[in-house]
Amino acid sequence: MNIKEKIYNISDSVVFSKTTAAFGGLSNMASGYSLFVNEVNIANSEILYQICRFPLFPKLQEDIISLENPMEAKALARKYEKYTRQDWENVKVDIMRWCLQVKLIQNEDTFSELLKSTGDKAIVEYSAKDPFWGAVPTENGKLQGKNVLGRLLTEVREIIVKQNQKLEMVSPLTIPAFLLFNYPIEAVHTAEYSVEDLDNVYAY
Amino acid sequence: MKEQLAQGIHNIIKGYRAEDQINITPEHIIAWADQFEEDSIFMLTELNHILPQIYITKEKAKEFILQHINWLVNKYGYQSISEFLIDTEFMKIQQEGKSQFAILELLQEVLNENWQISFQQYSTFPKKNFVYFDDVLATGSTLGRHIVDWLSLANGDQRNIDLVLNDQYQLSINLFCLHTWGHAFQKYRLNKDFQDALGRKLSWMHNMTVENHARFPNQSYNHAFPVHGQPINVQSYLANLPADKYENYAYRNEAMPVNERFFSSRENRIKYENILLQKGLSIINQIKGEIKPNIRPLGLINPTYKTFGLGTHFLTWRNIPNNCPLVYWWEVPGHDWIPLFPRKIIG
Repeated sequence: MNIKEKIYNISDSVVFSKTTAAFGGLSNMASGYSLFVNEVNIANSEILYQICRFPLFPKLQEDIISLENPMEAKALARKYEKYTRQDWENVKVDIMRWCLQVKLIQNEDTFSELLKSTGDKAIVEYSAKDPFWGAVPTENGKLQGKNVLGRLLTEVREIIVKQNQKLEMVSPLTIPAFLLFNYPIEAVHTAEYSVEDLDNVYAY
Repeated sequence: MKEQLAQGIHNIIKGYRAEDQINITPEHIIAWADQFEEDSIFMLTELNHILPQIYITKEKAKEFILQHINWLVNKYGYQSISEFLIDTEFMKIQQEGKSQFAILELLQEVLNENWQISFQQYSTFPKKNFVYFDDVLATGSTLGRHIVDWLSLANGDQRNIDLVLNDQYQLSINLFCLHTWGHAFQKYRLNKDFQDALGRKLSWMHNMTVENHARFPNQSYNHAFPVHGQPINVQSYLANLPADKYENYAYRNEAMPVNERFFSSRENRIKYENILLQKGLSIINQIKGEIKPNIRPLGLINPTYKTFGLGTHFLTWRNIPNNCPLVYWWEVPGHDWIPLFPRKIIG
């Protein structure tokens, strides 16, 4: 994967790390951004990302989802790393981008506002040791790394800010075996789509 | 043969709405079955198989309520039933005549029989546990609305949701039966209506599960859920429904359930589901004038859902949900159909 490392000035960037600190909601580990994919309740985008590793292991997907806690989910996924889909390295960035789009479409008020509040600064995930998804501190007080998560967040921000678009639907990825519990993952809708008419069953 | 089969069914459901002076006789059961013409024996046979799994007698309901009380006492860590009752309010949100009232009446009996105690004697104590009883979450529409409204209520300068979030209140939803598909939607709705704060602060307990979520693993589909390959009248009914959501939930995956545990066999399931679908459609075809958009052959559902209905198979001694297939409860003067279970209409 040909993504080049960058060096970021902290003062010119929106840097996030801990979920409880400023801009913590940008983290995949943040609580408060629940999802509904194939009408299955998924507590956060980290869990969504981790279940995409294991399309042929529905029981493992079920166990990961039931944890609800993203740190525990990540730990469980690591334990079963050998069952990761073979093309994971080639598809994981696309999967992460899709996860962020799902987080955005189903958390219109909160996540979209948070992204907008980053203005036009670079979004950088501070990490002590992962220069792929985030950027690590350098000796001269900067951050260096591929910062893929930060860049994907910036990309998602572009959709809502620059293009001023409201996502109507997030289409599934066209990769093989994009499955949840053995069923193809289908288009993901807004929270409003699933919730708005729940009270209408007996309105006649 | 028919008489024997009808007698078998009668033995199971003879208490149905006895309190309303309804008396379902074996003759009524045969008259109902005869509407299925050459399939009458088949329907009676299959019903003998499934009814014990889906019909809740008053006695069974009391067993369920006892399980709920023991579960709550244990969950909240009380040493005695009276300490639990002092702190607990059994919510009365539904209107009189609905299931919640009936369940709370039975709760009185259960408390009296097991502990010679009544919850009403503690009604004036300040409460911190709030228990919402109901018989079934089908689509969950009523329950979801009630819980949202209750959590939004202001109690002084704090709403109930604030009191739940800061652990001053504990809220529990206690059901006899829960449908997995409707439950997923209501959980999502409660998450979104309260900014994803509620999470595990809300407790759920139920005695029976209708596994009807077509995207969950290992569902037993203990309800009516037809397969693809239906005759043209069924296909055209679905295509012409003025609904546009969840069409991918109209038919089940024929490979599911993996093991048939609900119907008498895999083949009989398909035959039964198809009969219900065809008869339900012929009932709908008798409707003159506007057809309400929530009516489907397999039972009421959200009007925007492009499916054949919820297909619920669960009923109690006091009523049948209208999410059950129409053949069981449809009763309109002038229509050529008699229901097996006359439905009590409240409010």
